[in-house]
Formats: sequence, C-alpha cells, structure tokens
Amino acid sequence: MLQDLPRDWFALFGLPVQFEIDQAALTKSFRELQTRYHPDRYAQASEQERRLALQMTSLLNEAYSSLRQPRLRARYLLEQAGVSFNDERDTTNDAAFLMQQIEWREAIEEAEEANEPLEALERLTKDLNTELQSLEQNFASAWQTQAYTAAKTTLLKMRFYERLLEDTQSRLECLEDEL
Amino acid sequence: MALLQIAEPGMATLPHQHRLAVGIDLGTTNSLVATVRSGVADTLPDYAGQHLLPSVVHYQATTRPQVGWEAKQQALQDPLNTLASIKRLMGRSANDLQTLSGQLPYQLLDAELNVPRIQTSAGAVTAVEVSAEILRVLKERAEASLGGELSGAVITVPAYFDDAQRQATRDAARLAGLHVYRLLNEPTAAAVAYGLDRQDIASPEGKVIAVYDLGGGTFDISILRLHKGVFEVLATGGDSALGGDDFDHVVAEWLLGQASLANTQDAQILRQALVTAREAKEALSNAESTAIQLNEWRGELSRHQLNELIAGLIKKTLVACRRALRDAGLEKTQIQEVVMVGGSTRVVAVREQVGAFFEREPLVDIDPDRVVALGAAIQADILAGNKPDAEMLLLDVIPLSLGLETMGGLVEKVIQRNTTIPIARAQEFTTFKDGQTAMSLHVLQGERETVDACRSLARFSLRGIPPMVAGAARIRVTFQVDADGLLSVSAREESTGVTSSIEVKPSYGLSDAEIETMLCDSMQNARVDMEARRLREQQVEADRVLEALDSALQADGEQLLTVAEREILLTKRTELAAARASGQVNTIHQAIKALEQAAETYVARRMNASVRAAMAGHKVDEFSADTGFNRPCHN
Repeated sequence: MLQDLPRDWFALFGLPVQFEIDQAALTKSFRELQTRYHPDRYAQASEQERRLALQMTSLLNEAYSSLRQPRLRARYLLEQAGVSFNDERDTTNDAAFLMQQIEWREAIEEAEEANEPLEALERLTKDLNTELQSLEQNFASAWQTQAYTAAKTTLLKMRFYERLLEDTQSRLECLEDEL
Repeated sequence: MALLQIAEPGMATLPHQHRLAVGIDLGTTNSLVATVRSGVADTLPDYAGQHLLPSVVHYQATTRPQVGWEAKQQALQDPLNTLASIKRLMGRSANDLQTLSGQLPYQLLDAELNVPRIQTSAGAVTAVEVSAEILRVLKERAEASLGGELSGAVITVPAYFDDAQRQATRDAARLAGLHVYRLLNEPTAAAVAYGLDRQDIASPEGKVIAVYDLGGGTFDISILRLHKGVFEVLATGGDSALGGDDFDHVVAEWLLGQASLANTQDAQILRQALVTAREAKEALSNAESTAIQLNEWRGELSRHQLNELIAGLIKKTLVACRRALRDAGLEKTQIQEVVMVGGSTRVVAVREQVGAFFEREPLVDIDPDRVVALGAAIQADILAGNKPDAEMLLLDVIPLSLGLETMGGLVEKVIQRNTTIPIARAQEFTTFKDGQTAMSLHVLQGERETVDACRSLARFSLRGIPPMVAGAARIRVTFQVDADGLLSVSAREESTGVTSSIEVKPSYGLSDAEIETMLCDSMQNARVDMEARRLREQQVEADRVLEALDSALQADGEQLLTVAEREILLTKRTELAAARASGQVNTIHQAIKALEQAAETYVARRMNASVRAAMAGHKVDEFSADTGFNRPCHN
C-alpha cells in the first residue's frame, strides 16, 4: 500500500524542475498525496505502516512547505545543481548592499518609534517583500542560464531580507504583546 | 444482525465490524462525549439526560471521587477538595502555577517538583489524575450507552496547547484506559462539525474560514482553508491561559472590591465571589443589567460595566487573531466565514467585537458548547474505519516553534510555528572536545529568542558517541512531530552509524515511570472498588434473604414449623444480621448460605403447601410469590 515516494521534491509533486512554480498544481498534487498517505488513513493499520505513513507525510510536508517558499525552493534548486552551502560562513561582501541593509535596519528602528508603530512596521513589511520579490526574479534568470555563482549570491541576499522581515515580525509581536 | 454477516469461503479478513468510537471534548468548565450513530453525530447524555459533564472532581477521604454535577455542588461547602478548571494546570509546572495561584483556591504541594500536586483529603493528586477521573466517567457513560467497549477516542485539545499540555492530555487518557486515536485541535473539530467544506466547492481555491474558540480557560484562533473534505490549517494562534474563567475573575475582583472584601483569604468567600461573578456574566448575555449580592453587599452590574471589565481580555484575543492572519499571509477581507466556538462566545461583547474585527457576522448556528465534541466524533468514526469511503482529511499545524538552546542562553528554531504536521527536521551537531562521548541538548518551545522566555520541554543526553577528534563526529538529531503535535527525538552519529542512546528528562509532565505507578494505583483503586461493590451486593442479598424469611414466617411459620425448628431459623437469622453489620464479604456470604441451608425443609414444605392450595383452587402466588425465598443462592 505504501510504496516509496520519489525523493526529489519536484518529481514528488510531478512538477518541472524550475524556479517558477505553478502553485495551484503544487497544492492539488500535495492534497492528493496527503489524502493517500496521511497517518489518519492508517489509524487501523499495523504499527509499521503507521510509522511509514508518518515518515511519508513528514517528507510531503517538508517538500511542500519548502517549495512554496521562494528562498527554500531556490536553495533546493542550487543544491540539486551541486552548489554547496555553508550556513556559518556564507555571506556577501557587496559593500553597497551591506550599506543598504544598515539603512533598512535603521528604518525598522524608526518605524518602531513611530506614532503608530504597528502600522509603520506593517508598511515596512510590504516594502521588504517587494525587495524580496525583485531578488527572486534575479535568481530565476540567473538559475535559468546556469549562472550558479550569481544565483547563489542573490540567494544569500534574499536571506538578508528574510532576516529583516523576521526582525520586523518579532518587533511587531513584542508591541502586540504589550497591548 | 450477526446472521446476516456471512463470510465468503477463503475470505482473509473478517467482514467489517462497526467499531465503537467517540469524540471527547475535555473542557475547562464542561466536558462532553459524542458519537456517530446512523451517520449522525450526537452528544451522549448521562442517566439524568444531562449532556454536559462539569469538569469538576470532588475528592473524599474514603470513597471514590465524585465527578460532574455532584462534585460541582460541593464547590462551596468543600472548596479545597473540589477541583475545577483543572485543564489550566495540565502540563504546567509549579512555577507557572505561582502566577495563577491567586486564582486557585487549592493547596499545592511539592513546589520544587516538575508536576505540581494538589492536596486533597484523598491524598495528593496531579492534574493528569484529575482529568483521568473526568475521562473515566465519560468513557463509562459512552460504554453504557453504546453497549460495548470503546475501540478508541478522539480527544480534543486547544490548538494552542504546547507539547507538555498535549502529553499531559494523552497521559490522562492512558490512565483512564482510553485508546486515543488522535488528539484533535478544538477549532479544527469545530470546522469539521460545521461541515463548511461541503459548501462552495465550485471555487477551485476552496474557502477560507476563521474559527474563534473562547472556552472556559483557553483561547484559540485558527485560520483554515477548506477544500473538498481537506481541512488545511493555515495558521493558528491563541493563549492557553485565557478564557471565560478570566472574565469571571475580573468580575469577582470587582465584586470583592465593591463588597469591601478585596483582601479576604477566606476560600469560601472567594469561591462564592467567583460563582456570583459567573452567574452575573451569564445573565448579562440576555439582559442589560443584573442584580448581584455577595455576603451583605447588594448591587447591580450592567452589561456596559461588564464590557469595560473584560475589554482588555477581548483585545488580547483580537491581537492573536491579527497575528494568525499575518502568519497565514491573509488579509481580514479574505476570510469568508467566521465560526464561534466555546461557551464564552455567548458573551455579547465578544460576538460584537469579533464581528467588528473580521467585518462580518460570525456563525453561531451550532451550540458552542457541543460543536467541538461533535467534530471529534466525526473524526473518531472515520479513524475507527467505520467510513472507508470518507474523503475527510485534517491537516493541522504546530502552534509554537520548537527550538534548541544554543550558546549564551539563546534559542535556535528548528521547526517554525504553523508548520504543517507531521514534520521531521534533522539538525547536525559535532563534538568540541577530543574523545567526547556524550552531549546534552535542551529542547524548548516558544517564539522568543531567549531560553528563559520559552517553555523548556526536555533535556536530552546523547550517550555512546564513538570517541573521535573534536569536530569529527557528526551527530544527526531528528525532531519528529506527529499528527497529534507531539515531539519525539532520535539521534545518530553519521560517520559511524552509531545510534546514540537518548535519555529524556521532561522539564514538565510525568515520566513514563510515574505514569506506570499511577496506573498501578488506579488498578489497586479498581480492586478496592470491586471489593466495595461485592460487599454492597452481599449486603443487598442479605437484606433480601432476611426480608423473605420474615414475611414467610409471618405468613405460615406457625403452621409449617415446630417451635424448635422456628428457634433454629431465628438463630440463623440473628447470625446473618450480625454478619451483615460486620462488613465482611465472606462472613455475610457464609451466613446467607447457612440460613438457606437451615431453611431448606421449610422451603420444601411451603412449596408443597402452595401446590396443595393450588389444587384446592387457590393461586400459587398467594403463598410464595412475595417471599421469593426459594431463589437459588448466587455466588
């Protein structure tokens, strides 16, 4: 009943290997696979089948949530292309970009001190998302032309914006907790 | 029915059997059990026709605890032994309880232990044991009403319950002898009960709904996407220590202030204030103002005043709604339906403000007290295998991030909140000393960055790492969260393939050994129960025999027995009466036998007499029906 699923995330959902993704097709395929493999389908099955179902759906959830997130999808593509990552050391030395990052940090701090900090931080979230989207487009074209070094640099920059978004989010939540 | 189940020759599996499965809503204030019969989910009532079982347990020194309505009635007379709102203590440490202690009229013991115990006249009890008493009653109710042993249950928990609270709930079920198919999140259960997935299926994207669940002690907000039987939770948020109880507390505090009793320590007055506060709150769901009284003080509480008192609490719930929306990546306007669940959504201000926040009228069609149990019953029926063609699938998320302690008391997240479960994530670690064979990990749950601000779940010691130079070992630690939202951890050294042994020290909650001990205790209790029942049975039997003898002697003792014979029977009668008073099961049993033996001749004569009388035109039962003296003895 439970056969081995493909380990490749794109193959798993029957999708072409590329950065642009058909979200609707991904979701449809995810639901179908979940319906078949979810542990709840094996509530009366043997212990071993239940363990397998747990393992399968854990893989499905991991693959689905990663493919839905542009940065994780990008990273997966590069890893599949043989690009290695070192999370401790990988960074960028683009001075202009780093300057920009400092400015963004300042903007976040300012937003926090604003009269309506929640609204200001939420506006900033939108701006950061816009920046992130343009980086995603850069990544897509770099990956398409197999310019993996450039693609990796773009991906590392995406991580910077994600951290800014995480920071904004946690400040928002702290403010909300104080309400 | 059984005759219709004809097995075909050579058929490997038995024809499908309907398994008895229930959904249980183990609530802060009330609990319910529901099941699906003939395709319809319904809650099961007790003998008196009551569906709700108050989640209250009254402990007594010598007898089994009372649970439910009986227990609730003891709350005022015996506040220290009457445990209510115990759900708030599930999976909590003594430290957590310090902050709640002003609200808990109980005597807590062992403040230094992981699991706080409450002193009662029946000894110290944990929240898990108290919850198990409630579950036991619901299990018995279901088995009595369904006529058989349950094969399994789905038990609901607040979506925002953390690992320790979920584990505690599972432990309670184990103590109560329930097989748990699944722990199901309450808002998800409610969404299932409403069946909103069946509407608007024309839309390929499905429908997005919000479930606002404010119970007695917990608050959940869940955002779900429903699509042809698939219930996908997009985000969940809440507060597992916020509910209608808190409304009662702010009103009670106000009440005590008004009655100049703000500093009273009297447990009875505090309980009375809470009861009065609750009654006033409930009355204000249907009235603009209500008269109240506490001791000599009499006054009035208006709905407007109530709204002001609870405004801060409602605002807290809306903050969580906002956060859940952001986590789901949605705007308020994208929510197509808002479902209200939990008794506390009867409070007018709650309905109004939730409606204003989401800019739409919330759904209140199904009884907010019962909706969760109904949804759980539907899921239990499917998990039991009673609906093999069911398309329903529930995809839930983990409510709080899981992380590991890193250098400097910081927490690194391994699994982010609102990740769909089940999920497994692996993380690699290395040794930092030559020949290092052990390392420890500290697992935490929560959103904050420091260890102190998160909940400590467990400390793991990895042992048996093969000795290597520093940095050479690659220990892969896998965190697995199952469909119940429960975490398990395994570890393996990658370069040698050695599986490290893991020793888990739960920061909160009961260890397996403690659960075993409790199981033994409850089995002993069951033995005590059984003996008590056998004694009761023998006493009833003794009474029956004594009564039968008395009425027989009165009817025909003088005609059918000699004086000497009567003397013997009366001696045996005295002996039985004494035995009955002794409280010894065997003594009573022996005395009944002795009396019955002594009465054999008398019984035979009465039989003959009645036959003769019948032949003479009298009815048989004129002689013996009332006495029933010749019934065989049961062991």
